[in-house]
Amino acid sequence: MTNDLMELDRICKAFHKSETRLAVLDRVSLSVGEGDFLCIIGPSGRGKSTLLRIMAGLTDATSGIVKFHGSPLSGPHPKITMVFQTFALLPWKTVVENIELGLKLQGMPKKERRELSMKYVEMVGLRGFENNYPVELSGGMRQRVGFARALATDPEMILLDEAFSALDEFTANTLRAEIVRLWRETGKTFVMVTHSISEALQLSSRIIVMTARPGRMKESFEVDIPWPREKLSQEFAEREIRLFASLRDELTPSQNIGELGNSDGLKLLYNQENR
Amino acid sequence: MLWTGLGVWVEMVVQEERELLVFQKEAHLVKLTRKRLVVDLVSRHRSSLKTFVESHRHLQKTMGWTLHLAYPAEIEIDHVIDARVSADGTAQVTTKTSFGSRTVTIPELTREEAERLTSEINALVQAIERPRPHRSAIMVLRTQFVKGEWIFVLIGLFVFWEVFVALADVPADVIPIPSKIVAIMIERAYDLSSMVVLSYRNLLLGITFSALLAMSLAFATGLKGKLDLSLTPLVMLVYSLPDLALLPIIVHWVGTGALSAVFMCSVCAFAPIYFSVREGVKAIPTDQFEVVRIFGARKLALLKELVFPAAWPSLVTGFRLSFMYCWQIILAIEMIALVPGIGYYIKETAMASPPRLDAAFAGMLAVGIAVLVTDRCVFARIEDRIGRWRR
Repeated sequence: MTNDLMELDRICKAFHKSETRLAVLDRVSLSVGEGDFLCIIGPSGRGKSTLLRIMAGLTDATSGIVKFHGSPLSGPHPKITMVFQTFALLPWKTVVENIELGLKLQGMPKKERRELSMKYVEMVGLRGFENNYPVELSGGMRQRVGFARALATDPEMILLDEAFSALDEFTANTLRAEIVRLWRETGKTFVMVTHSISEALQLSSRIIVMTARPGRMKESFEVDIPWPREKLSQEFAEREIRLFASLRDELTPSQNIGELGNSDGLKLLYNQENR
Repeated sequence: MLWTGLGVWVEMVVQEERELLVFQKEAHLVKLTRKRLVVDLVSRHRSSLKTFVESHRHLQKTMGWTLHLAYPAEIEIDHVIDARVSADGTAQVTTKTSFGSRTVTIPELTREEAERLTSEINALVQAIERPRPHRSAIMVLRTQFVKGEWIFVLIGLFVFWEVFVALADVPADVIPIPSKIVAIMIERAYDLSSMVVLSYRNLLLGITFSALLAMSLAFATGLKGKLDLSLTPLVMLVYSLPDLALLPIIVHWVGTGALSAVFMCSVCAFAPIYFSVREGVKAIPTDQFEVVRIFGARKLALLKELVFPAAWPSLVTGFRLSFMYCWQIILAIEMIALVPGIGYYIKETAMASPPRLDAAFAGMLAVGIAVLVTDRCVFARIEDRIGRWRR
């Protein structure tokens, strides 16, 4: 296909801990089309986040190739950004300083980037809070800063790492609706990792189900429910049941992975490798 | 004129010579006239009305009570960010809420009224907005030292001491007379302070040099686990040696000049700063690294944007610890290695014959004041600023 923005070709990832080798991803191949809202779903500790970080160029795959616009990705790319589950705001920076972080690192002069980031402050509804520190904001407001920061550099591809799971349901719903609107208006490409079936159905145009470790692609669903999506509708419920059935098979065999089986163990290994 | 859209109604009545404003919600009523302010309070909203009235009080001066329009009661003036007239001529007021900002459209106004209202509201916001209080060093000193009962306790103690020494007829070379100490401090203020400055300079030189070194090393070991494993045990080893035992060796190497004091201070300051900064760097969450890296930051930019600001609070803590500790050390060095400075002065006066304990005490007090003032005016202020963004 010509309009593929990103292509992953047989991505494998393994972590090493003393003598044990832990395979996390096994030959994951997928392509992300321009303007897609792709959702990668699976229970936690399945390497979804690792996959997302490989797509971000934050960590290398053990083997396999990631192509962005047809050329191999060898590190972070200015057109790819990420929104984090933990918001990842820099606490010593104010709201507007956090939002302009990307612009600053890309070398935009101060006055210009301040002007531009004020537009994003406004866009995410944080006017009047631009000089507050993250610690003074609620969770939802912090994630709005996270989104504004990701959008400020005008990326083509935005990766969401369980971006809504640290928020309460009401805030998360509002933000989700805003993201859908944004996606439909701008036509940017989104890739989201989540473990919530209904979140995946609410947002995405395509859903990929991951298997238990080592993570492989199990199934790919096109989600063709028209917008705005109604959670209580028949077609929503049908797909929810289908997705759940697909995921259920992956839930049981995970008990025998040993001490590194939980996602914290995986995160620990990831952190050791990427500091 | 009546607004009904917000569950409140605000009425403006213009009478012949005075302008009257009636602000009514449920059971409370405020009348604001050119001459007098009538507050009629029946309900439980006493406190909210009080702030309402108080926020208008400074308009007494600037506007002479000629307030033409009021904002709807639902909008709290403290939370107003901006008021503007939109393209279609309606007044829109933007306020801070706990979820972000919210814009309220005020219905049923003509364009002219809308313009008047928005300019009134903006003027109010301007009048209320106070700049973030800037605490100068003098102000800190004043709040830290002048306020509080402790000063009376101190004076009481001195008086008691004075009376005790006089009544019990204790010789001055056993317990000095406090009034004499104070007299010396005043009389020799210049000498004492220049000696304190001398010691202070040596100490700061030592700590600063050490801090630069400790910081760079701590950045390296805090970021690289392997380096940490091979270097930190060595720092521990050196740290566990008794610092003062190094003194004769250092004197042997660099002689007894000011250099030995500087050298000794940098040796002693190293470990507290090193361990503190290393902890600070290690505590940076991985996602913060990721977010800086995803925007393309490498090496230097990573240090500048992330590692240094994140480690700044622990650097301050380490520096503060070292500062306190080094004062002990430098006094000892000056006494043992005969380096000029306040420690040397204390030793000389206390060991003179006959001993001049009052002068020695004056020297000690001078050091105490220098340490205390630095701590309150420099470190406490920096920590205050850090506290603004830290939990």
